[in-house]
Amino acid sequence: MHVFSTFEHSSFLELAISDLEQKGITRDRILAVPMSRLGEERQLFDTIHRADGDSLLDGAAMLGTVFMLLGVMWGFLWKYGPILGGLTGFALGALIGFAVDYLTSKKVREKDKVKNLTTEVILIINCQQEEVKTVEGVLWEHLATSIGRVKRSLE
Amino acid sequence: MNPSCHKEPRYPKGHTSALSINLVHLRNPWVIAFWSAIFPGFGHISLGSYIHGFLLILWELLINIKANLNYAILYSFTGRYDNAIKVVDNNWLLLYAPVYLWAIWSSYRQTVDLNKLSILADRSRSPVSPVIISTLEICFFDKRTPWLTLCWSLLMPGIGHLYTHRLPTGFLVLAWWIGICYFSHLPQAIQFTAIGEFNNAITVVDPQWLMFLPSIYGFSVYDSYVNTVEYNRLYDKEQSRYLEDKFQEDTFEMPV
Repeated sequence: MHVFSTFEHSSFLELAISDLEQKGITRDRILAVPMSRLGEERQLFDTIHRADGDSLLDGAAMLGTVFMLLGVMWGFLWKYGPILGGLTGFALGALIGFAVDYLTSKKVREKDKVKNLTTEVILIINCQQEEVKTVEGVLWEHLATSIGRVKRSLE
Repeated sequence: MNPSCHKEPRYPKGHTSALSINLVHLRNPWVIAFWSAIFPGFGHISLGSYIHGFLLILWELLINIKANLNYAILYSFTGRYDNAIKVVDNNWLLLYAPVYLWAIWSSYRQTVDLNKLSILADRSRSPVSPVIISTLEICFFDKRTPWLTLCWSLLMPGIGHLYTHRLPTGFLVLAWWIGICYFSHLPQAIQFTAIGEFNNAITVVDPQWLMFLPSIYGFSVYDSYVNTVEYNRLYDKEQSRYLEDKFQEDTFEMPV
């Protein structure tokens, strides 16, 4: 009898495995398969120059900083002073930077949508009929995103 | 949480110490060069090259104050060109350019090379220790919320880095921020602005110090956010390797 489950990467996953081992499921009855995402290797080359994963913030932070500095300087000539000048500059720059990044990275993000799955690790437990309840309990308790087994073999 | 492997890697992915996790990951060299241009030293600090970064920041601070550079920039951008010429101290200003350009160039070049090392480290499944407990600190891999880091950094630069346990950057930025706030009289200016006394706000601030603020603010927001995301990725990678090494035995009886 095999119990299948899916997990996201977290310390709960390791706690779940450790709990199962405590309850007598030996290591040769546990199979963990981390799932790599479609095209990750290829992406390294596509995006070697912008691959910190968050290009949406690059432009916002950079333009925000530059405009904030300009806002502070021009704020000295403005009746509302450098503080409001700086804050206005920061908001304006961050907004423009974000908008530019958002529009230019639209294609990349649409490609990412397909890859945005919650399954990161598949965990398969080979156990006896009478252990199924315990195993499933442990898996649910440790935030498995889904659990399943072949119903036919119950009969 | 054992390390996924114990062999010494030829291309290490990162190094966990009590003070922070230093790691190589893919970055845009132009972005790093930008931060170096905004404030020499920031690019290197973002890369995790702290000795470079700290020394460059100290030098920038010294020469900027001594040469009255911020005043010169302020006057130039507000059309008071005569004042700009008068205020600068040429004895210092002429020393400025070489180190400034070197900081930009060096951080750019270093990023390009580190990107290559990062790819090699990823391919060779280079291991990293997920937990370090030392006498005075505890540092461990964790999944963190990028938006939470962003909010902390926006509230007070430096705190976002402390949340990700990048202590050298965190405490440097925090100390730098507090110092500049004090010398520029920012808190008083904020109060005057809040109650509508804008003229008092303009006269109370020290422009020379106030102009340091935008760079550190933007940098701390950006850098702490990127770190959070990259630490999360490192967590996933390390856990994947551990699971693959330990829970994929040949003796496992496959369901089909």
